[in-house]
Amino acid sequence: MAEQVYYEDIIVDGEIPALIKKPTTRQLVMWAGASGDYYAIHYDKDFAQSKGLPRVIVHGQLVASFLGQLVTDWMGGEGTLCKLTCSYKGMNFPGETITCRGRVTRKYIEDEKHYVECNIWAESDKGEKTVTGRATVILPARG
Amino acid sequence: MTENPLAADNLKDKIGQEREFGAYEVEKGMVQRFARAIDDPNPLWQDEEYAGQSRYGGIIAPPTFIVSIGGEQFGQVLMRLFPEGLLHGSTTLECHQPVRPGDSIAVTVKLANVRERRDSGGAKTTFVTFDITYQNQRGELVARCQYMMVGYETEKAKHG
Repeated sequence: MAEQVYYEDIIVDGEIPALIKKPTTRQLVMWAGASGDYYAIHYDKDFAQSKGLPRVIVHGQLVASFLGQLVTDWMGGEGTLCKLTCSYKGMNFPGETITCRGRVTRKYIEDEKHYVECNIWAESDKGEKTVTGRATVILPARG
Repeated sequence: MTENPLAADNLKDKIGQEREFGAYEVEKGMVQRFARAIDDPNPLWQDEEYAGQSRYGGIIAPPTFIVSIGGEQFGQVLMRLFPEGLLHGSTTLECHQPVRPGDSIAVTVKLANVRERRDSGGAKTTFVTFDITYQNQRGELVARCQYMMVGYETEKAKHG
């Protein structure tokens, strides 16, 4: 585990450490079992093509969970994730690299809590932003 | 018995209706399986000793775990609603407190909004927003999740 990050350390416009994933079809099946999303566009190529898709695609919610991990890894055990939003703009395919990134947009104190907001996104290996969103966390302060 | 807001045509007339989706027991194995599926090694999700010494005093689930609660049942509803084609538009997750093994989470789904659009070829695309509320066994709000789902007509879209 990385060292705990504190509110005072946060620089607006600073990047948060990237998280790189490379989901395989096996991981999609694991996600289907763990999440209960058994829609066959995620594991049956013929079915996916019958729905107008080029092939099997990665679950959007799996990518959203990668972005969740991006944020929980960065904020550490003393941080709290309050809100996570994700819009699914493009498709990710198994076997391709997905790079999750984030950038701090704002920090503020409200009701004595230390909030940090970030833009977060997932990039395909062609550099396309396939999922974009925002996260709001509470970080500990050195006081 | 109220009419099931998630099971029929004329969706637009059912905006605002809610349906109880049952309560689900959270087991440690479910949380571990979820963390492994993301390939997230954070010890808060899996390591009893580490998590026991954290401010949570025990294992908690990753924040996005909440989508798996009732996920299979909700997915079946969606597939029946849009048998031709279905994609996920967006997710907004508000976390109010962590989910822990041993919790019983009750799920309520509300049909929040429906928008329809036809392209020049006549194929219909439907944008449906659901507000899902998750409460624990003490009646406390654990999380809210808003999903926007996109239903599309496959054949018409192909020929459109």
